[in-house]
Amino acid sequence: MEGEEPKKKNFFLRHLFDFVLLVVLSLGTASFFVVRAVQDSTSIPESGLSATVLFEGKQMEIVGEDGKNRNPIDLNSVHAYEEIVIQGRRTTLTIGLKHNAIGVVHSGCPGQECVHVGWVESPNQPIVCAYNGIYIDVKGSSSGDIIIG
Amino acid sequence: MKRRLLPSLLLPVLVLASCEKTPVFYSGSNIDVFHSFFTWNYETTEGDISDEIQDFTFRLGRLCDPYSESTYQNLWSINQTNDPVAVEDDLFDILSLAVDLQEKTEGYFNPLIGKLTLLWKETLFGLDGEKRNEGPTREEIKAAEAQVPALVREMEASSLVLDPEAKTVQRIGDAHIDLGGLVKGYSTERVKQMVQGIGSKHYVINGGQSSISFGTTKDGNPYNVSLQYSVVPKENTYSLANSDISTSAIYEQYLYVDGIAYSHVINPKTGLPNADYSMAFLVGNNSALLDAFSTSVMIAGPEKAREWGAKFGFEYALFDDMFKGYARLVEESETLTEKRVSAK
Repeated sequence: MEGEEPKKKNFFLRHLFDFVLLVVLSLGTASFFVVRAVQDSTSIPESGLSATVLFEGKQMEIVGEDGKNRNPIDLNSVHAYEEIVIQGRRTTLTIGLKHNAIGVVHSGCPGQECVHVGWVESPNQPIVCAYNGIYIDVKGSSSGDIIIG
Repeated sequence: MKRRLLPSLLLPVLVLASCEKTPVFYSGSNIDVFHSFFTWNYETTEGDISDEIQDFTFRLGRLCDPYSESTYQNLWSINQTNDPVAVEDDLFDILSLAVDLQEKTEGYFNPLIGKLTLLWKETLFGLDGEKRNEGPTREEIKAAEAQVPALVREMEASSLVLDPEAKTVQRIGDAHIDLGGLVKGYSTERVKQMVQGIGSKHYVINGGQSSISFGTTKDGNPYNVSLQYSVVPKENTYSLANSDISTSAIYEQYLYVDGIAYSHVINPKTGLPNADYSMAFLVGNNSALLDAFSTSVMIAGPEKAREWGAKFGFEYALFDDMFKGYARLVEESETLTEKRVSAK
């Protein structure tokens, strides 16, 4: 029994390198998964679009049926046609929502450029109504379509 | 020692695995830059440079503002004096390019077009767009036209003197600088270089919807590029990758008075806001150059488009407004026709 303590001590000393290695490996593996998780959370989702409506550069509050702010709008979760009316700098705008698509269906602006853009189904095309200070930023997985005008 | 061999081998493998970088898509936008918007999407393993892009585009917007004073020495500052003005590197760079492009486009792009641009903007649309609904009267157009010959003479008698050593710009004459025909393309080109500098191959840089630069899609495929103002949606669709594209068109701001189309695109040779063509679409590898040439091609027509395209390395498509509000193809480079999606 007297030799038990030194034996234990010797065991730990003999395997000190292994223990250090085990701790380092565990930390390395854990940090790998943490980094991956953080990266995935900042990535654009693989499918589906979302749209952020900005008024004079700031995110607007758009209250949903549940009373909560739904801006940015998850277009992937829209399954039936919806309309949202927002107040711009000078007139109102009616924004139409469809599954993974958004468009300005009515605007009081004189130029009507925002309406003429039509339905946006690609993250490469924002909708702008400069007259009303409205900017709709569409985000999502990189689509294979670009529209230039 | 043998017992330690396996963990010793595993350690570097796991350390390397934990350091492996996953490509991430980043995106961002600036609005009201150059009275328009600017967006970027790019995939990289090197981290987010959106703040850098945001700062650059915002600052360039202030530097290239010909109408408002800024904390920077900007175009407004240069337009106030005939003395040399010391400017920041980025403003000096874009002004140097503007002078070079004025020569290359044989004066169809003119950085000293400021007073003419302002005259027609106020006459046709109102400075804040307030006249867009009713448009100008025939008398208002005639009054503006009466001012044009003197302003064209003033512009042709004016020039810019750039001193690369002192980084100063001197305006000779009374014409005012306006870089509206270049700044979107220039900023797109610069942001493209920033994004390529961190190794991104999958990116889309959108400078106000009229200058766009892109690599390939996430899957490495080309993009289908469509022209917004085509008669039939997606009628003019091209399969393109690793390209810069630019359009100059009347459609964003134009109106018809007595059957004549008036737009925000001013012909520097005549000083008038009329052109025979309604849109030019250019494909190449330098957004800044394409921006200046797209306006020049739209004004100068197909003969110059062919000549400049061959000389400066871009493809073109030229359209007219036969269908009042929708672009109809008049002529395009043969190599661009081959890239039409319908041609495949």
